[in-house]
Amino acid sequence: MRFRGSANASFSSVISLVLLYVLLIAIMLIFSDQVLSDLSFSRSSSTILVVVLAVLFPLLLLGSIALNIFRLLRERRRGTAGVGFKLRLLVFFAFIVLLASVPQGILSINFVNAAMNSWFNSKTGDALRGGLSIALQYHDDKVDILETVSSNQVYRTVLRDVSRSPARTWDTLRSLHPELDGFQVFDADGEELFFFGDSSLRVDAPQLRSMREGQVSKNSSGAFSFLRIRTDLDSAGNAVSLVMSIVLPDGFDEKAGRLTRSLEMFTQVERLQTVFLTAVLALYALFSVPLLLLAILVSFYLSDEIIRPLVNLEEATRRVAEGDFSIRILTRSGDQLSLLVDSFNRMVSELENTRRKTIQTEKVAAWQEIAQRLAHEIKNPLTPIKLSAERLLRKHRSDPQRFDDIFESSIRSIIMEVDNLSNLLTEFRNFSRLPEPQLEPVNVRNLVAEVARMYADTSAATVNYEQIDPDLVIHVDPAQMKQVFANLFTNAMAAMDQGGEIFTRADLVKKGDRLYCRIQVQDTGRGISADNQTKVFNPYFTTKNHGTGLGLAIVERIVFDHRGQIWFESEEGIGTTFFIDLIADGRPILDGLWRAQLTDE
Amino acid sequence: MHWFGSSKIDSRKRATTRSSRVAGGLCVAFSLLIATAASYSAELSVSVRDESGVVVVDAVVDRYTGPSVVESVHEGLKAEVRFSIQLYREESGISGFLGDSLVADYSPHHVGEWDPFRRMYSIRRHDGRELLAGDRTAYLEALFSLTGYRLPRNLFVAGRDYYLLCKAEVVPVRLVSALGILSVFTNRQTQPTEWVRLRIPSRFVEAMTG
Repeated sequence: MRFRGSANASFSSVISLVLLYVLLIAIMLIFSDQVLSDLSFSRSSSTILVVVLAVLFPLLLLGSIALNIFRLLRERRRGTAGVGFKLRLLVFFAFIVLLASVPQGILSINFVNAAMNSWFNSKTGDALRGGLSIALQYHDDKVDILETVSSNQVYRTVLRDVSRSPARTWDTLRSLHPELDGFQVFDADGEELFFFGDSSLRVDAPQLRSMREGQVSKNSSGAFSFLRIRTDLDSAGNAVSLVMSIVLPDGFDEKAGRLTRSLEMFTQVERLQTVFLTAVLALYALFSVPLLLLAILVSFYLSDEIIRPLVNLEEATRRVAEGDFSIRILTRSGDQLSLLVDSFNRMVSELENTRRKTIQTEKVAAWQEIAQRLAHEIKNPLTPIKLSAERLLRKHRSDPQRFDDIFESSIRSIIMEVDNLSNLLTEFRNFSRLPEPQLEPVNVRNLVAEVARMYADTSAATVNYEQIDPDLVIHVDPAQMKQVFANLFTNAMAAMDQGGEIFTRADLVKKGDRLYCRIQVQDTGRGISADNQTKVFNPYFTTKNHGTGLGLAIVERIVFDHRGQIWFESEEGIGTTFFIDLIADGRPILDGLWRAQLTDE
Repeated sequence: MHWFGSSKIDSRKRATTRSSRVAGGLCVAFSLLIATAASYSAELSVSVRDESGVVVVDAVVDRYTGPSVVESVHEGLKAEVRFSIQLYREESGISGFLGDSLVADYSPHHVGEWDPFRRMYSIRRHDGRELLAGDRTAYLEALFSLTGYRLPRNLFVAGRDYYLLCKAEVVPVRLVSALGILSVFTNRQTQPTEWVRLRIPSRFVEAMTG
């Protein structure tokens, strides 16, 4: 089995986030280019951008974050490995993002505030108003000149001579008001009589007719602007119309317009300064909230990336602890944890090799031991059989009359030894061909009681099972478990020559994430010497005269087949207690993997 | 020239809220919005007429009681009146289930300001013309009146019924482009009228499509 760490999913997630980020930046650039420069919100494109940036994008990101939080909570409920670490990483990332964005925000807003105060202070306003006032004053001065020349009686006296000496009149006017740039005289029919000054200021008859007498008008001709006034008067008995013009400086209108617009903007800024700061805050939020959400979303994927190898390692370690040495972790080369993963994989590989070698060695050693034991056990009865047979033969040859005297005893001896051999081989066969456990719900107390009854009439010792819960049920093979208890009781009773009580109890204990039933069988017999304590589960090890040495080996094998554990505590002269842990949570105890391993071994 | 009846709709009233200021940017914004709220109102009168076979719309903002559009222009600012004219074609049957069809949507606007050099009010109208007004009455009339807004003939199909939905918004201070974003926070200064619905007489449609 191999953990791949869903590299493809991770890659696509990273690509999605990068695309999301690029999209966000693009929208922000468009926003700042198109919207910030002229955000009247009357344009639908602006509204769409604002909706996308301020509503849809954060909603999309919030949805993704909510989904990830939901997944995280689900993983936490399930107790998935690494969830706590992931949660801490997320909080850490979010905290870092906030730490980074808060000072940036404060700095930006303070900068904008300072800039506003600096650029749009009262001095700037005074300067703008002063500039406009000067421009107006200048403009009004020119208007006053034209109005004065047009309406003042002194000037009108001068102007009445225009028919007689137009050039002198113009010179007089120019000497009094050098600002005058144009002087045009029309007769009553609108025909031009004279013109002095810049020819571009010349007025034709229709224009003259459109002008109101005594009222200054402002006109433009190409790049320059000028003021002019029409004056009607009587000159030497003829009705004439005079048009006098003053040219405004180059770009006067444009500069005055700029000044007016600047003042308009300044006035608005002055009025809306507080609102402006709020708008800056809102804008900052508009830009930073999606980025903040994006950063949190990124932190989800980053934390996934970081903890995935660790979770894989944890899972793999657990599987190895359960005996699955086939597990390997796949990692991308160059990954920060690849060295650790490689080391782990090497370690598991070496463990597997070592385990196989150990098993092989143990197998050979066990079979050697069994062969020796078996040879020894078989040889033991063979000697009395041979001796009995030789004795019968010798008697038959030397003293046929007395042959009958020893025939029966010798044959009995031979039969007894053959029976012993037969029993030995049966036990051996039972041990080597222990059937697969057939699990079914079994009441522990009833099972112990049933076995105890078998010994009630044959032993001085009694079995106490009062401490076993009458309702305790576990899934075991009842026949095999009977054999377990029978073997344990047999050994206990053999150890208690003088009789006594074999105390049994059963408790539920939790180890890791599994529940076990812990069964104790305690005797007050001789106890097991320290030298023998390491050998008691070895096949054919026995301290009894007629023991086969397979009893505890069979017990261990049955418990092992049930995926349980067995151990004991013993003290010479005090007694021995055997502990058996059997799975009690109702889950199948023989999954495919475990069965495969049993077969292998 | 034929005149057709006009319609007036009461404008909504807005509750005056006591100013309040709370520390913090967003709270400031909130309190500013409250502070700017006032019981303003405006009404819109709309009429249509047939001018040589073309439907012409006239609209006037009446009874405007919002922030002064005269004082603001004397402070060097600009005022604006934005009109919205939507032409709908009535639908029936299955098409009518989805609502009437929006045939055209127009947003003409007038911008008024004070020209300190000419010492006159200047009104830049929807058609690009500049009107000059020497007194505030003429200025207000020019600013608030949308006259002679012509609807193209090709919008109309013979035998169908049409109506107009019109609305106006009075903006006492038109924000400069760079500060346009602030309109979100100062929109309470803007006084909209209710939508006015006005049916276009069938004979006008016939005159245009005939």
